[in-house]
Amino acid sequence: MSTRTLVSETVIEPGTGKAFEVRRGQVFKIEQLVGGQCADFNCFNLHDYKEYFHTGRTRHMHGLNPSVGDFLWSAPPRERPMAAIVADTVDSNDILYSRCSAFLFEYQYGLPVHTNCHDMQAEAQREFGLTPDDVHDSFNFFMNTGIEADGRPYIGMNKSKQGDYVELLALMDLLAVPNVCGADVMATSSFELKPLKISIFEGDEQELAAIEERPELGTFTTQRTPADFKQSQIRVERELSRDPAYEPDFTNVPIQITDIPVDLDDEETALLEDLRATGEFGQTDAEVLRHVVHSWWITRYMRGPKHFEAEGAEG
Amino acid sequence: MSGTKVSIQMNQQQVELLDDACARLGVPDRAQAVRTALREHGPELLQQAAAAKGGAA
Repeated sequence: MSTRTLVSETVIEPGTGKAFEVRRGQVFKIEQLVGGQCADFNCFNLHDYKEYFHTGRTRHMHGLNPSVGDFLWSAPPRERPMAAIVADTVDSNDILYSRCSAFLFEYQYGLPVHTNCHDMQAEAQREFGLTPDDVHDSFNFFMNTGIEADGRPYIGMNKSKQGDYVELLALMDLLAVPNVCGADVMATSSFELKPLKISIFEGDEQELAAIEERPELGTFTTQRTPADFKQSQIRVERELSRDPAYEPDFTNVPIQITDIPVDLDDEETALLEDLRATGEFGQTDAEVLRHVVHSWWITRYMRGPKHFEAEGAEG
Repeated sequence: MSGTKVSIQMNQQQVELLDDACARLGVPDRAQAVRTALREHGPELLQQAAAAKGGAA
């Protein structure tokens, strides 16, 4: 990594953030100058700001705590890898929690004027004409989180030390917007705000080529652009009104049901009865058999994380 | 064959997946793909259910 050519180096101080143009193939590095600091992060397609990083799709693809080898995905209907995490010396990142905001500090702490990630993002992004409404849920680098046994999420003390870093390889031209998380009264940054160093490097063509061989970087017909939208223009009016010419056009509607008769032999019948007796897979033979078919397909053929109870493992 | 006749209801999208399974398996009809799924995956599901029950006890 040390052989990369440095393009720029910037320190972002507590209470601030900064928007950076990062070109496809360049590497964006966030480094701990002191240690223990969470970096909230937004990013947008530099040529179409409506394509932006989506915590939800990224959670689906990589879980709650992505790290090296995982992508930052854009929101539906684009759904493309925007950047790849290519280095991470801590492996303690979060995409479960939303950005902190002014409201949280007023409601939970009685502090109506307080550094917060939403407002810092908004202020940093304003340099490129974006509004507070354009701030999206953040990728929280170096944020130590998890889920308790009872299902409640928690924020742990920050694990990063001085010199720790993460590196993102841009897979499209980006507006990358990190900020120094302002949550000094939460454990997020171990109860202290500290500066972060942002470096941009020219990329390595071989590294980019290797990433682009991943199946996620394929081209899929469902990755739509404004050219595919029935409503392709961005609204400028804030007031909403009904389009009298609107005609619903939902996918695969009407949903049509087909009966599939299946003759089972004695052995298969006994197996089906055993499955039904567990009470885990449906109430009727037909429900159980349908469960078997779909869970079998998921187990055998599904690409990516399976998100299926009992099947469990990532694909 | 004595056994049982079961009729599964699937919508057109689910049938599309079943037809994909037919193609992957090289079987001529949907019923055959369903039976293959049951034979291949049924015992695994039974094991998982038993393990879950054992873990909960």
